[in-house]
Amino acid sequence: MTVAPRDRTVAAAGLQLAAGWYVALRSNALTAKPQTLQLFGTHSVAWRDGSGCAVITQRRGRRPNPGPADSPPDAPRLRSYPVVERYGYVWAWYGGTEPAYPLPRVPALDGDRKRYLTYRFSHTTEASPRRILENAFDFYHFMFLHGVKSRIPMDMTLLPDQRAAAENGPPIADGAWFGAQLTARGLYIPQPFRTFGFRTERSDVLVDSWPTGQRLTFLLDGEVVAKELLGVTPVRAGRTIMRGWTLVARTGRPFRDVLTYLGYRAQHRQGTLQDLVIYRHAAESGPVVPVKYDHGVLKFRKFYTGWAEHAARAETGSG
Amino acid sequence: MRRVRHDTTRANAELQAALDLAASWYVALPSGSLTRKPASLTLFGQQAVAWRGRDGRPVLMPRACPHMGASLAHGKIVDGLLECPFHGWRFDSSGACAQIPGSDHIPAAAHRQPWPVVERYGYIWAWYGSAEPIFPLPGMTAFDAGPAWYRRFRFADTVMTSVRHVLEKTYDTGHLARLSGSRAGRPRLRILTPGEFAGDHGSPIPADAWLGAEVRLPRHPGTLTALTGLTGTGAGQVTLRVDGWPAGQRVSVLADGVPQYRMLLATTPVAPGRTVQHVATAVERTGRVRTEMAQLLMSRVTAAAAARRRRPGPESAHAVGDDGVRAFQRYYQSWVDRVVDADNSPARRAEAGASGTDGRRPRGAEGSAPV
Repeated sequence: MTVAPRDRTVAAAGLQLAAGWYVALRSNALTAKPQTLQLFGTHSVAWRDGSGCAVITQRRGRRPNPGPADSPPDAPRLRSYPVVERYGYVWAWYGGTEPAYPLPRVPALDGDRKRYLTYRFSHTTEASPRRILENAFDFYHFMFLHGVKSRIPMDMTLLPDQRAAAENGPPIADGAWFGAQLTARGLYIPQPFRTFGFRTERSDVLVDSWPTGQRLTFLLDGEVVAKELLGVTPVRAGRTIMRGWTLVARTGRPFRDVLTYLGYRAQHRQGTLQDLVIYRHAAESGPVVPVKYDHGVLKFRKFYTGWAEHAARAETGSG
Repeated sequence: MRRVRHDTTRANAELQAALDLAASWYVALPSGSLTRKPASLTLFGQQAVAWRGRDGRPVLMPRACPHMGASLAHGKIVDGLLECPFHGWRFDSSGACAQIPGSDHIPAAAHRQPWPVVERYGYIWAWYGSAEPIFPLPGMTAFDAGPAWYRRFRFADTVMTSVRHVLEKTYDTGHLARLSGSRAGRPRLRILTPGEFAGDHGSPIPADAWLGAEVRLPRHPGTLTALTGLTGTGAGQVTLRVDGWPAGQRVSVLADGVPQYRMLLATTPVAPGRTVQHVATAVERTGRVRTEMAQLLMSRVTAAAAARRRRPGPESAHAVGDDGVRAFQRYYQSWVDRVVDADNSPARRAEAGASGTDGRRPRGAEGSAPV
């Protein structure tokens, strides 16, 4: 494939994307027939080749050749993105021609999904991928914006070692991991759920993030309640799709599981909608005046910026 | 961080150049559109939030919370403070952060520099161009007096052109000829000295901020003179007496020396090439309702026609052979030149505040300027 790094870099400059794996599209949306999609601020073409593998190339100039699937469109003029197909999505690597780390695994999605009640989510927002991803490390907003209440206010610890978040999955490549544990004691649970015996003394969220995605585990008194996989699709500057999976653990008590599923899904949806309103109207640039509880966000931003610089170097071929 | 600040400063300078605004008072929004909730608006090419403080006085300041950039316009007012919806930071009417939930320390840079504002004549006015107003908002007797003395109405039109272009039309005799509907030549326009101005619009505008003119429309029949027939004054000599400040004008319309109505023309610079022109009209109550209503109708018709004709175009072309326009442009430019540089614009001052440097008003300073 011909590489045209300069074009990609110019188009993605406004996005300031970190090097990493991004969700390009859902697997079941991809067929042998080439289809156009906007990704990383440029127009691309995606299709399945003769062996059924996903291919995503940057589109330049003419529209793709609508010919047979095994004759890729305008091949000499295009470059391909490294692609992995997993968890029902086609993931594309941005930041040079060779991935700097593999797509992290989510064992809960790799294994027997009957252990979970699952749903997919997808929301389109004006926010940048960085703002979406840093949200998990902004623990104070969970209390103010989302109204999470607990006897002792929520706190967050940045994890020094991936082993502390091993519940999420196997280690992520060195340097591409950023993890935190959010803890609340005496979490307030709404009355309808308390009626059915839902109580907790300690609740935790284990977040481990790579530069362009996250896997999370929610625990009540040490028991896994739910897991999430969050990926992002940077369509263009000012348009990002945040999507992934939620898995609510089954306990063998169907009625309780359904209640947990419905309750979790409702609060997830409500919280996301509140975040989307903030994202829609927030200024993406400009100075930030931090306070003590912003340490997680600031450190994540530093982590992200490092990988954005990696991408910029790789895209211009100097790295 | 330094690079970001440099880029922001350059962007502010480019915005300022594109706006081409004089240092002056502009309408930010009508008073009635600012209730108990904060309002989001775009003014001077910037995202802003307007809200009412504890004492009910309006506050206008940049919209983005200095903490994480969330829109303060989507927050709420609690105990007279504007609360950010994201983390609950609260700001007082001086733009200073007064409370941060979860933190007992308030950074000095947690501040949004407000624009000087005044609420008057049914509008909230904002000063642009320097940290403090250079002159007070001009008064207008007809709008200060109670409703027993004047019938009033107002309207607004959005035009895709600059403030300069909107206001220079008053001094453009070709435009006035078309507006009056006369085909018998251009009106006669005379730029006045403050001593020559015979109007009684209100307290005098400081001489260096003032430009006045008298315009006499041709006596021959035209739309405007025909409209004066409706008022019972006959199709006589129509005269406009104009005195203005760099971003607005006070206008009296007379027919054969008899006052018909008074207008306040003001502007809202939304963004480069996008301006809202506000017209407020006052007709003195005489007891002759038919005449008063006809006068109001006349002012509405002519103002609407003026708005339609204020289309974007080669703005310099209007100056050719037109002393009035040239005089206005010289005057307007002298006030564009009085705008302090981009580093002192409100956005920059907010940034300076965020970076912890000086360049912001002291905490507790009033957001509104005395008039």
